[in-house]
Amino acid sequence: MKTGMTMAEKTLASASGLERVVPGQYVTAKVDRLMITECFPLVYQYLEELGDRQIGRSGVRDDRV
Amino acid sequence: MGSAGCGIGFSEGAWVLAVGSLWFRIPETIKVELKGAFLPYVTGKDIALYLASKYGTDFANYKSLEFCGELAASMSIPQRMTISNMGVEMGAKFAFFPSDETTKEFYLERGMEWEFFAADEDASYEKELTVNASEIGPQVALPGDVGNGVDVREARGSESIRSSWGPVSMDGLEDLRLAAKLLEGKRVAQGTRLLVNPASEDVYRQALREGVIEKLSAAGAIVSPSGCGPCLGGHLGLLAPGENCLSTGNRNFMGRMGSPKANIYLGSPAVAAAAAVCGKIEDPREVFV
Repeated sequence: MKTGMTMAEKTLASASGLERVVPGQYVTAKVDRLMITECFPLVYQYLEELGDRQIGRSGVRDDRV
Repeated sequence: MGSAGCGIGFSEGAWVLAVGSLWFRIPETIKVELKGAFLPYVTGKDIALYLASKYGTDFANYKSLEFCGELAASMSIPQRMTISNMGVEMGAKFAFFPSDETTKEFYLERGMEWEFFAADEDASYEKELTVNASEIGPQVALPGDVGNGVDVREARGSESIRSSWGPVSMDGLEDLRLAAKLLEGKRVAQGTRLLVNPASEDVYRQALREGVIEKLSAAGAIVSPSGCGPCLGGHLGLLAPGENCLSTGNRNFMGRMGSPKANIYLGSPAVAAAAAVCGKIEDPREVFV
């Protein structure tokens, strides 16, 4: 039986703190970077609906592409 | 390095901002071996369009694509980025290239840390495909679907009122250099608009320093600020009813760039340069001899 992982499996295993994952498995992975372009107002609208939350770990940067 | 990127919706974007994580289903992986060598005026864009036309725009639905092989190893980072960015047009959740000496150089030049990253040798794949680039000429996706790819000779003669370099599926600088080289001493055809859209501020400034922008401008190109623009019909000249466009962007769906009565063809920077000079779709191998 093959036990090695593909690049997607390795990446998502690492981001979700798991040693090994297999196709079809559901994981919660940390997201290191979120890029939002002109659509930020729509994202912010959903963020407001989520209630009184602080922006997560990464914070917001106004870098241009 | 060892990172994956994918598109998400507005609500998921808000969730990530609030929580810093997101759920994923681990995708099955399709391995794509790229072998052979690029023919003249063939780029990563052509490989992506070829894959989408040969296997369909849904053959990798929620799968991960892994590109490998002798050609993949010889490709520049921008070429790899173009193919990876086009993975979503085949339905893929992610599209990877393994890291190697080329990646190392790219990272170190930018002051970033590098480490080797690749699949395990005994990894399992749902499917394995082989693409021989030596058999692929410049491609053009006919209007309506990214999977409508044909050899440029089959699309030859279509009127192209406007050509654009979109920032979406490519690094930009390598494409701009190629375009400037091909267009040097030539002029954009009467009645054709050539829009050049640098992929980033860094690319824009480097292109200015190298004289690339000057050459493009001298050929009659309109150079826009970097960022999203014509590819999604955002600004900088929406397509009018009846207009035809050769775009180097990712998508050619009806109405994508303006009027639903406009026609959007997709191609590489070389195909776009040939279209700009001729005012219609032509084979770059014949235009730039």
